[in-house]
Amino acid sequence: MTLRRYLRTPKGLLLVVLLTLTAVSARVEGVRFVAPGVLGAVGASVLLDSLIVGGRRCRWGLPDGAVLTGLLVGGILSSFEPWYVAAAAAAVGIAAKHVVRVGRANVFNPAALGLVVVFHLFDTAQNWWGAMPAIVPSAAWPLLLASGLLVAHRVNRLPLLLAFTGTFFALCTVAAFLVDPADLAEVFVAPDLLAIVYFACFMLTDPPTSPGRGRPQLLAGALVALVSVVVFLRMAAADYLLAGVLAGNVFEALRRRMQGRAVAVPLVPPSGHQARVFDAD
Amino acid sequence: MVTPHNVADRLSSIRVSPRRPGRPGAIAVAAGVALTLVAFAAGFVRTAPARAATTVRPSHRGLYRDGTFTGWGRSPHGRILATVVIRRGRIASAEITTCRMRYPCSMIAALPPQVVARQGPEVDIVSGATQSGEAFSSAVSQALAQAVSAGRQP
Repeated sequence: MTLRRYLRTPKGLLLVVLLTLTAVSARVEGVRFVAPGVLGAVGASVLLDSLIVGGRRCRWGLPDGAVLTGLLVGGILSSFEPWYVAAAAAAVGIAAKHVVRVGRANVFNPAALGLVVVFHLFDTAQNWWGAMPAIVPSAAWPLLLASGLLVAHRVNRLPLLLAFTGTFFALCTVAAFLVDPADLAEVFVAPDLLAIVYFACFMLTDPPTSPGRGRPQLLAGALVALVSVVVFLRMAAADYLLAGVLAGNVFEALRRRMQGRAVAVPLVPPSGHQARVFDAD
Repeated sequence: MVTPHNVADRLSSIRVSPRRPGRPGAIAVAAGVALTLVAFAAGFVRTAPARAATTVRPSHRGLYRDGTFTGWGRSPHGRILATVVIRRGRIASAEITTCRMRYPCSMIAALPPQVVARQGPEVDIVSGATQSGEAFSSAVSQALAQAVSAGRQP
């Protein structure tokens, strides 16, 4: 596959988008501060994924799915965390991707699972710097929204994204009338708002771990939003969004298992040509 | 009868032809966008006064009344509840009672003893947890403001 053709696949598009957002944000945050975490996460995930896939199938190559996992982990963990924490998060996610499976598809979003595990093990900080909170809003918002919606559209997950955002903000608004509005004030402004959009566009829409069709997408999006809001209100933990997506992953795995469908739905991008399923294998 | 299932069915079944199979219709997408924007706008307006609330900083030292006082401190990353105990008009102890931050409060664990040592809400800036430290300082200020106002009561 040529580079140009690869970049037209959903995976290639997401790789370009995440690399761009990470580079833009790193320039403002300080490359020397964020580079150890990103390189640690990408290096650990690529190394582990290569060893597992290569050892199992004697097939060697750049595991682009692992690169995406590393970029997401590195872009969410605080730059004040040591590089080996980012590496551990990525490694946990990649290991779970190959161990916890339903049929041929992994159950959990690797980056989300790794981040939740290290959050509870090491009490890590997550500032979602990859969502460009330090960049002037007039530049950050158009870039994030345009690239995020493009990716969601390309992987056919717009209903999932909109079901999540609509339900999430509706629940937060209702909760703001029931509890102290100050408890939810930060959700409606940056940097939390940027993190929510980044999460919804790039993590929630992960094809192997999310439904491919309309109605299940609506149900999954609403479920992720409900769990996220409950975790936010009950524990106010940094991983409220990630806890939500893990619940959505379980929902999708159970749904697939009940339907006897072991593989993710093949993607058909708008251009009409058949795209590869996202899973790295 | 309108149920969540009916709404979900209708949203997912709305189509604008011609379109590719499996893709949502333009009306369904527009409905989702509209729901998101309306819900967001309502929540933004509802929580705006809470974001605009200013921190109360006590200015009357030595007038604290004995008792246990609590206060919330806010930051862009969440909230902290601090509890301050006043004995014989002085700050006897201060602690983080509830941590609702997106950063771990272990990063500012050294700050509560500073409140006791300095007998006030002024604490050091912690590298990497600046806003958490400010939220804690605000929470202590809120608690001390209650102690001051309590001290003024007959």
